[in-house]
Amino acid sequence: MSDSQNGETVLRATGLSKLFKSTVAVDDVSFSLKRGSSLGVVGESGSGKSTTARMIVGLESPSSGSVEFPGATGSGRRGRARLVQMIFQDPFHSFDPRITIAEALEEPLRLHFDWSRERRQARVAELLDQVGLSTRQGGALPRTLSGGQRQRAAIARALGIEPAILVLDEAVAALDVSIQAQVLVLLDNIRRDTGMSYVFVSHDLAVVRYITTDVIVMRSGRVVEAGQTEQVLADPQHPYTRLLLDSVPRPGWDLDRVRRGRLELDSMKETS
Amino acid sequence: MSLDTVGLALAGTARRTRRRTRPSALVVASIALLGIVAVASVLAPVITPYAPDATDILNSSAGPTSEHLLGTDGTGRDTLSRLLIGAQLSLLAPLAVAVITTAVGALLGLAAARIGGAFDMIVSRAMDIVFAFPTLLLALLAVAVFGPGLTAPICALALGYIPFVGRIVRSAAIQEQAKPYVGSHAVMGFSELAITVRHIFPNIAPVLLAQATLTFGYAMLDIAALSYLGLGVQPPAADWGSMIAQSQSAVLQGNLWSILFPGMAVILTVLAVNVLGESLSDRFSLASRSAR
Repeated sequence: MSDSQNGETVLRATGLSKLFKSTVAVDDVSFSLKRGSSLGVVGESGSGKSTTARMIVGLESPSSGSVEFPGATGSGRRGRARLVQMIFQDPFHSFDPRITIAEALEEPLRLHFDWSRERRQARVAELLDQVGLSTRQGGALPRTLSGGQRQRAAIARALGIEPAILVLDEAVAALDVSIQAQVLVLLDNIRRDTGMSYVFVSHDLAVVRYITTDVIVMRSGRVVEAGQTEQVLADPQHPYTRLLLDSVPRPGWDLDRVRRGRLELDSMKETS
Repeated sequence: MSLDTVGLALAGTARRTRRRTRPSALVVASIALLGIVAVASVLAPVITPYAPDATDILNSSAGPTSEHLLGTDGTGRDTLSRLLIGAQLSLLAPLAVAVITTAVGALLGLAAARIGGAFDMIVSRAMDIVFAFPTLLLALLAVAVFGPGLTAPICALALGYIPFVGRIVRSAAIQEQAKPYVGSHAVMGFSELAITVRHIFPNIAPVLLAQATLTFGYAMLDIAALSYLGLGVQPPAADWGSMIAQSQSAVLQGNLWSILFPGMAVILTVLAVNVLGESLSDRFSLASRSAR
């Protein structure tokens, strides 16, 4: 995965911070994303990674710092939508329960493109096919589909808008492992085919290793380590990254290492 | 997916839907009763056996006979005919209240929930103030200021019931807008107004329908009470409340019939409306809970 070097920058976050009342959720986070690359944002719950994702798509406004889309032409909510789309963790509630999957997919097409009804419906069929959903499933209400099917429908809906960037907030965390793999392969194929860039928020390092080219590791709202995914995961520099890696159960896994890692981190906090 | 599995899946869906949507016998009876009352009131001018204000003085204060199926009142007017004609005003006035209340209440509740902030605070406090007023008292006040008739009490009752609808719509909309699909539509580029009109409103509409039905029942009782007090419908026009009032002297003379039928009409209709409203509101609050 060396295609990240040659693309132009599509997203630049500079000094992003977010305060909720007096709690600092995100603290001075900067990163950039190149066309066709995939940035992993990892960290445990409460590390500020979801808030960062929500600031990228404009669901939260940063307390300070900025999110820029170099080369972007559109403005406002609709313009931003063409640049960046988001897939949420909960695939059920990201659909209006009253309307069918196909209707939900057609809706943004009507907003963003000046197409005829026939053309929109043809595009919907194309999108459903792309994520491996049948026409019958397209005609169904969200509640009749499984979690994996809904998540693929959500991906299809986002792809319909043809954004430059797709933000995935724990998008596969709620899925079964086999479905997870299916969705990941789908996402990787789309990235290769369309040159779409991903911001992939996850706590699952195995998933991040598979899907991302670069990674930032967040803890308590700050970036503690950043770099190419292979390099960071193979040779973690920060003790927190090491702890995250050690926390993944695998053959020869040792709980004591996890405990020692926690102690090391805690002692760091006292001295800093 | 093979045809068999599709068939099974469909059968499962159908079974689930049927179990969830089958209404109780009481609800069916209520709907039937309301249907009969509504049809009777529309057809009233055609099907009344006598003119509602024609007097048959020789047969005044009579019980049911073959000539007058539900008897006559103190001035010899046919109770059945007046009941049928009276149904029009008795249903139209609360319908007007329910429509105004639902429209304004829904608008205020939605706006308060979606705009939030200071606007929400002002609207909510204003509704609290109106809420603190007994609605019937408000209607009496309106009559005192604007004189007897139906227009003033209809407006006053509508105003009085707006907070009931407004509060429920506001809390339903706040609950609805917390769902991630609202955020996902914002990310897709839809305006707040489009999201409100096309997604939030249709999803809370069932709650609104239930509330509108209940409001109709309350308003019907209130208007009957006003007419009974002689402040609503003015003679010679008839509604059920004024029929009860005019039958009082007959009751004192020992004729219970002329008060029994309009009284039963009010009680049964309000009861049916309330049964229907409660069942709707139970069903939809249950549906939203189980969908989570």
